[in-house]
Amino acid sequence: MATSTNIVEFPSRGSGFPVYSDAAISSGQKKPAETATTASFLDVQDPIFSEAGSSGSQNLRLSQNELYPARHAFSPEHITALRLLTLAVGRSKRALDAFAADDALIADTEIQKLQVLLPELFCCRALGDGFGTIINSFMSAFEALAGDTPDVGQIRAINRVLQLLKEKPFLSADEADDQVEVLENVGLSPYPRELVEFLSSSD
Amino acid sequence: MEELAKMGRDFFKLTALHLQLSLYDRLGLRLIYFKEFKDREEAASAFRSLGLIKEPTTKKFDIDERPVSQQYTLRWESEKKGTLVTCKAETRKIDWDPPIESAQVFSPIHKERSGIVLDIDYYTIAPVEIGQVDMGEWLNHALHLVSRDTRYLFEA
Repeated sequence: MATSTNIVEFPSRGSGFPVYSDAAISSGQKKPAETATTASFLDVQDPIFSEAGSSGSQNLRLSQNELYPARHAFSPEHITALRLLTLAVGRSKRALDAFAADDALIADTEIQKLQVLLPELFCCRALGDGFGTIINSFMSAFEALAGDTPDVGQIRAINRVLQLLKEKPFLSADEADDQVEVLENVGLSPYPRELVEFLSSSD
Repeated sequence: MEELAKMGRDFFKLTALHLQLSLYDRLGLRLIYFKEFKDREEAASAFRSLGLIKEPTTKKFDIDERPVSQQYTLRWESEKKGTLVTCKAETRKIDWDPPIESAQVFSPIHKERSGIVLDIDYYTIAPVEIGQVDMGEWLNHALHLVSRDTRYLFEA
């Protein structure tokens, strides 16, 4: 692929010939080394991603903050989704902690705070079908609970799915379906009420 | 570049879908710029003015002329990401003679182009899961980093 975009400026000496640019994006095997000198790389850290949960083999994978290190380069949907998902993961974790401390009221409050994030997260569904599917299933699950607090197992599943979504916001619809099943397996109803009613009426 | 990001997004999404990929071993963005100068000496002089390397100013190897076709390369590499920056003065030579049967249609090409090449390869080393990547987003971040951090070359 080739374009004629000039990103970096050369000093204005020499002739007035144009600057050409060739850009290529690739995925595949690592290229052989051609280096003469090496130096340390200053990694750009973003505080928004401080809760990136990783363990075991995931340490060898790139996290979202390593993959997308430039704050100014984010699309509005992407940065909003990551900010809200960080909040949501934190709230679900605090709900779990509250249950562990036998404080159902705090747990319920945290879950309510999590629930109000969902409409704004749904506005970020341009990130992908998978993202929209999972957020939609959360909204349906909370609607089906009709104000009841989910139990510990359900909150744990919600926390896990939220963490996965935070690390993989561009997941495919198939991957998202697997996560919807995770929610269903813990007794949540992740499908829209209208759909459930329609399916049960056709039996 | 916006067009590239847009095309990259769709192309990689479809490729991953149809090839049923679950993991990228390596993501890479390579940008190559070429600034043309009048001749090899002028390109070498422009490279020298960048102050990237220290050249001997006296006669060496029994040659009076100053060095040409200089090259400066740096690689930054962590466990997960890397960048290779190469800046060099270069002369490109094109010698092409058309086949005899088309000699009346095409003219022979004998050209020399001298200039400075800036080649930046920004890449990942650790594997990346498909669900983590939107190629348009990644390209925007990579382009931002490259344009921000390559400026040091021209600050001398």
